[in-house]
Amino acid sequence: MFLVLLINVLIVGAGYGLMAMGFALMCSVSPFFNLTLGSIIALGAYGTYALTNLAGLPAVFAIPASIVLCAVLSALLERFVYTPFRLKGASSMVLLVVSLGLYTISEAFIHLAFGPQYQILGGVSVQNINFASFSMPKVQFLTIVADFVIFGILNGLLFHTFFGKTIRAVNDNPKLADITGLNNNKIILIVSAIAGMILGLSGVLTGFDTGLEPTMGFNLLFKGIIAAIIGGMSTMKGPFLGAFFLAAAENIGVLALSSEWRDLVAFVIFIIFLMFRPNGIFEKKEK
Amino acid sequence: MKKVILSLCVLLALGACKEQKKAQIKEKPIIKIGAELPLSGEYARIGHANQQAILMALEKWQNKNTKYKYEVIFEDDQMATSRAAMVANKFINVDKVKGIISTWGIVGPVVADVADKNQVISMACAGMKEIVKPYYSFNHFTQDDKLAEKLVPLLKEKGVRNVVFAYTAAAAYDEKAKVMEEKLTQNGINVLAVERYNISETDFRVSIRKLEQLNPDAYIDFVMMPGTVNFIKQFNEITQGKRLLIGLHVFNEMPSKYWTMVEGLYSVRDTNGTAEFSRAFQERTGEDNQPCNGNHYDNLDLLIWAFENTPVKEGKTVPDTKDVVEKLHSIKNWSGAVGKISVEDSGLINSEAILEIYQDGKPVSIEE
Repeated sequence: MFLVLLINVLIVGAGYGLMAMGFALMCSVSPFFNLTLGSIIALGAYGTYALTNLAGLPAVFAIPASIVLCAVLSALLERFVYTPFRLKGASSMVLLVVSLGLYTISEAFIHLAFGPQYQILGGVSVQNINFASFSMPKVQFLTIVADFVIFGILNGLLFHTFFGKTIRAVNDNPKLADITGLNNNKIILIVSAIAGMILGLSGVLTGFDTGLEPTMGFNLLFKGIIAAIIGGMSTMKGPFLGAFFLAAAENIGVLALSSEWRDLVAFVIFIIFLMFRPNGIFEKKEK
Repeated sequence: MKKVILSLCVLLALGACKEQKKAQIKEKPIIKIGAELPLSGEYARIGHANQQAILMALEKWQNKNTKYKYEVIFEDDQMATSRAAMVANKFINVDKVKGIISTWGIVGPVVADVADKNQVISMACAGMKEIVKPYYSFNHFTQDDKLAEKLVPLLKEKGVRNVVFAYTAAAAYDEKAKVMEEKLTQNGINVLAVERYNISETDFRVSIRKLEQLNPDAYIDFVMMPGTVNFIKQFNEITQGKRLLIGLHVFNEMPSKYWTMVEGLYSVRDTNGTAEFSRAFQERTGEDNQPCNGNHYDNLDLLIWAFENTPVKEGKTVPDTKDVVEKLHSIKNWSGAVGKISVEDSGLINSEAILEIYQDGKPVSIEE
């Protein structure tokens, strides 16, 4: 049972991890609860659905196209919605309300365009991968791989490149970054595109694994937000490991209690962290 | 000048005719019926399908020379109790409806209660008996004892001694589980464990493996859509076809493209329409028949039939609601969209359960 639990924590945690890292990356330059990131997740899944199941394109083309679409939408939202609000000095609360409005519109649009029905993505092999006595669908294995690869890339980008330094500079002190000549808006735009790609990918993988429905974005993003807060958002290690921590807690809850308590476990942990360790497990030490 | 006068006369005559026609239409009293359905949110798929089924019944009556003009007003209750009461009150106080149609166990008791207090008929499609306690309420749904009548012989025939239940955490499903457990235990079949899931659950793996440790002979699946698709998928991944899975009320909720997932499996379900009705629904909408579709078709059909056949008291333009209720109670052996139905004294409109096996990607009734 331990092995089962471990593998399931890996599968679920990897899914949460992608969303948590996307959210944390976005938050590093645009620090507010951006609910339209949920729309980006849904766009990744529905974009792939439209291109494969409806337009009949091969998945090998549809998946990258959807991810690029997510990056473009994320950047457009940042450029034409959030940046103008930010320049007007809008508070985080105003930005949250704006993002809630946009999320609601996007959900209604998906509802109108694709209907309220539950859908499954097709077009790729659904074969299982077997190890010892355990079998895992290929898409779940790919989710784990994607989670680790993206964690590695983001870590490298943020801490071993000049661009990463500029992102951290904007995160630490946007005004000072501006004074020193950094183009904050350009940096935020690029970061939002990268975050859009990560969230779009997580939407695609979730779509292949558990299907899609119009409300999927918000539910998934919320777990990502909880994971990011549990882990802490000052480094990428926080959301990455926080996701596995959340998945482990949820799965132990399922095992010890019942599946219906899964969300309760997640929210109890979320509240405990908000109360006693709001900066997460991997809190950055103030110098 | 003559031409102008002639044209004016023709116009006046046409106008008079139009007014007369309008007056004739106006003479027909209007009976309004409210339908509160989940038209948005997680259950919107079912709500929209139910709306189409109700419109099918309305169109049937609109093509007949009825005594009254019937109007159905649709409102979205998102299958939430807070909205359900608000919508029911709006129907009664603003729209002045004579009847309310509602879907499922969560909102059913709320609507029935509001309607009963205001002496308005409510017609539900819900898996709970409690809905029909008040006088003015009716519930058109295959009751759980009818499902058990089909499930128990199937399990006995398959030599099943131990089962586990997997279902969505909802009041109606808890009631179903309670009835099933009672009936199975009476027949010497043990229920080893009960696993409840949230409606939005997508990850069933750990819980299935937990249930597997109990070594059950069969799983009884009544996880609601869309969860049931993932449940079946993950069940198949884990058990590799070594366990018996029986769908209770849920396989037919899945769109037909997923029926290959349950190939060779049995399903015991409430009826949501005869094969003829399902075909007609599919022809009209291009979609599969959904839960409660046939029931809601019948609900409006019965309601209109009762209004049409209830005598009007002197000085009134439409029948008294109490008389319509009595008329509804007199309905026995009605050939409805779900097959033969009778209105019981309690207000329950019971129907026979269906036992099916999925073969070649579609359900085949065992009786057939």
